Amino acid sequence: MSQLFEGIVRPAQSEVALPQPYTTPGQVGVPPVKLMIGRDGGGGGKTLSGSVSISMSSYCERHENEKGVN
Amino acid sequence: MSPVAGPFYLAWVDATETTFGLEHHRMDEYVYSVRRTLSEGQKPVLEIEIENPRVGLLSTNRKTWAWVSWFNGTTIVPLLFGHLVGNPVQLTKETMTIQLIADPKNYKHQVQMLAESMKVLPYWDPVWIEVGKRDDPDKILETYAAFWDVHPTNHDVIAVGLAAGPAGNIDLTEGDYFYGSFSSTTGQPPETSILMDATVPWTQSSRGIVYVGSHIVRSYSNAIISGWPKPLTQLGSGWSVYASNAFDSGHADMAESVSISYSWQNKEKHHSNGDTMSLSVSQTVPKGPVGTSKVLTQSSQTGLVDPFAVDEDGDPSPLNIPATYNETSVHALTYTAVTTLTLEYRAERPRTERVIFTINADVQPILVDPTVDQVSEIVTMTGADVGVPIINLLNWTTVSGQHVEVGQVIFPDDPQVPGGRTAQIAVAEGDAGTEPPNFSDILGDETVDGTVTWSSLGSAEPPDNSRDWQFGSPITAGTIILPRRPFFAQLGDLLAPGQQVFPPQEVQLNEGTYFQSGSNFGVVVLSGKFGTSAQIAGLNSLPSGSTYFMALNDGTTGPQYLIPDFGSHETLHDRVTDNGIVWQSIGSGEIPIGGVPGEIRSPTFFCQERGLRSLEYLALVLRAKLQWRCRCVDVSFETDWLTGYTISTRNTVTLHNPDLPGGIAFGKVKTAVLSFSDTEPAICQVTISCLIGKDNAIEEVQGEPEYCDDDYCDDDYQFFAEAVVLLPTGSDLSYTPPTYRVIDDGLTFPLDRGQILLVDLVHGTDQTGDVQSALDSMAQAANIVAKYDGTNAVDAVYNADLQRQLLSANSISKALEDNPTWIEYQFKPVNAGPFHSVVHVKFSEFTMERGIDLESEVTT
Repeated sequence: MSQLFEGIVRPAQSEVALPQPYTTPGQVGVPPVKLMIGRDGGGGGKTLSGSVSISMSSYCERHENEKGVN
Repeated sequence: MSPVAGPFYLAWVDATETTFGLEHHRMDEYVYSVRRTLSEGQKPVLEIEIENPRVGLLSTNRKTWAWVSWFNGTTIVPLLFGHLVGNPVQLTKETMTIQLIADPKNYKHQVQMLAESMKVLPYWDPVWIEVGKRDDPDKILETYAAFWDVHPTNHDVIAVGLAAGPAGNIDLTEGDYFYGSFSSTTGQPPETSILMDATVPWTQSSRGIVYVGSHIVRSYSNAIISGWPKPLTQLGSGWSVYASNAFDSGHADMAESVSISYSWQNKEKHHSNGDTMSLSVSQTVPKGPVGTSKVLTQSSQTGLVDPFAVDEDGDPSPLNIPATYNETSVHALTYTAVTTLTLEYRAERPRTERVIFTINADVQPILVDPTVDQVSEIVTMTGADVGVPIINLLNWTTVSGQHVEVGQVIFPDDPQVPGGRTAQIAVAEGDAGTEPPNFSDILGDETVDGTVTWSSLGSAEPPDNSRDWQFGSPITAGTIILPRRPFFAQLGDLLAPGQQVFPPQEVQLNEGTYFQSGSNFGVVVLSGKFGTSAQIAGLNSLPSGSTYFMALNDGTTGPQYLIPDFGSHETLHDRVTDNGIVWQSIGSGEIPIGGVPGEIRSPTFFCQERGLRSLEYLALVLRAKLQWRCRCVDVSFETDWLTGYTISTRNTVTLHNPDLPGGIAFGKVKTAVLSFSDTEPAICQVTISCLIGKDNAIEEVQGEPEYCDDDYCDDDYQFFAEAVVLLPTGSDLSYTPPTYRVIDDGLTFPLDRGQILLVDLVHGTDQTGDVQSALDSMAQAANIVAKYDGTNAVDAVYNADLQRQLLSANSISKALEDNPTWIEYQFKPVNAGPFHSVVHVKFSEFTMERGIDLESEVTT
């Protein structure tokens, strides 16, 4: 008799069968919440400029002639 | 002393003369015939034929209660104490038949008091009883498979089971009853199988915080820091950001270029050729976390000193060219993002759990091949929300004549009269009256009952789930609330993000944030930095969330966030003041599935202790139905008055008769009718009802402990596989407790990181190569500009500019876009569902007594 009832209530299952799970772990019809931080690489980074300038002068004896001082 | 006349006596008395005595040994009326009927579920009735007194029996001057008694040969014993049912139909003859009924004036009160003592699990479970019937005596009696039984003379009321004989068993052999009076009938076929399909709903709820973790990530972009989620950001599916922090430990944003200049002059008075006369150095260098660098342009000139050089004429013309070096460069900085993230969840997950089981009766067959409809039934029930508190509501009768405290909620007994469908709450304590008052169905109307004052809660039945305390709300006296416990965090957790940076920073707290510090609580009433601009209010306690309070006076509730000190005043009848309103604790409601409002964590009802009691209640409902339907063989007989006088509906009878299959019948007395008249012999007609069971018994099996040896833990905390548990009715029905199987997303509250975090990854490779490539392009473009010699050839200028633009396309931002470094988190949603689970429970057969042996093969 009870199998008849089970047939009414759960036609696809026998009396002792476990009910089909409504969901399975992690798959419940709602997608996971995703956080993707920095994925667009935005901001462009930061650069700084540098420079070096060096100059050095030396002594050189001067000479005079009729054209002037060299 | 023998009485005069008799053998029947009738004394008209007052209703208060409840004790039979010598003064009642009189014949106020001459009695010609007597017929007393005791019947299951009915009040005892006595029909007597008396001489017509030719007066109105219901005259206000006459007494309507009577003691009827008889002389048993030794003494006068009472037969029934009752009142007239009404005027007799026939008024004009010499005799008339009147009817007396044993209807105690306090019948409802007796029944109610008795029912109150029977409101115990699993026989009484408010989960399955609608709110207005939770104190209904007949509803309470349902699972006991019993009738209310009134004693014909002393009027005490007891519950007598369908197969029970609290007054004892009477054994009757053939000589004890009249030959030829014996007969038996079989009623409708017994119901042998009932399926129960019952469902309870609730909302699985929980709030909490989860520390997701931290990362230290090196990158040429600040995208992680700038894109880091801010507190209070809603992430969806029940998640929001509770606390977060992302900062650059290298402080790249504070980095800048620094210029250094150095010059030197030769101060000597005498010099030789080639002596260095001056040196000038000017340098700009980056100060900060440089990841990679590139020289863009570079030029130099070699110095030359030749004092002996001559010109084209051969005249001395010394050569003195200074040495120079010039360089420009670019430097790409790196960010070292240090991140922390703490999330808050608010789970609200609708759930239902359905229990399905079948109970088969272990009985002898009545029909050879019965149809399904004849022997089976499906019972479908829907329970109350097991996730909200259930208020203990009483009928008025329960409190009549009793002391009533403020806050007691009752239902009037009679739903047919005006106000009968209302709930009433006591607003002034006292002793309730003994007569039902006329309750008002207008909200707030007061009714005086004895010294108690009741206030009407209106015609709607109050829901179990009263509303929360709300600030600034007008309240009328009698309003019931269920203050919820707000979500709160430990103050240390709130301030932790500020301690994770250097130097430590003050933490921004949002308005409405509740926190605990030591044994005290606080709430932020104005957003700001903790310790400076935030305004904090201290609170002694927070409500537990399961105690109801009732307003004793009208008024308006206090300011926002400042929940009154309900938590310290949850003891029954404690009071707390709220902006002039006095709230009084009216007790706690039971949340069947456990927890407190807002924290209903259990994923199952029927697979935990309280749920098993509900399961047993359902089984007892079916058991009562089966027992009623399987008590289907009636055996009737007649016996003499003296024997019959001792038989009542509180007895069982064992009847011996060779004509019965098996020679014996055992059953509960269904009716016992004593009758006597001048023309008929004094007899008693008795009918007993027999169960058709097989006398089998069920044994309890403890089962094997699943998780640990029971020497080491209490039975309450472990599960026994294959255990067989008897119902409290004894050894007639048992079941195997169901075990919980995960049918949902597997989340168990409170949540932790391991449960909810699906992905926690840092993506991307070392960006130095890509950035270096971009810097190389910058250098090439810079050199094109630098090497432009000023030739005004259109094509040359155009080509150089085009090449420079192409090189510029390979920029750092492009490189970072192409190869970003980023953090990915994925969390399980907490607001998944709804979840619907089905629990199948295995029950034994319901065994019962073999009241009659229908399968007997023995001839007696």
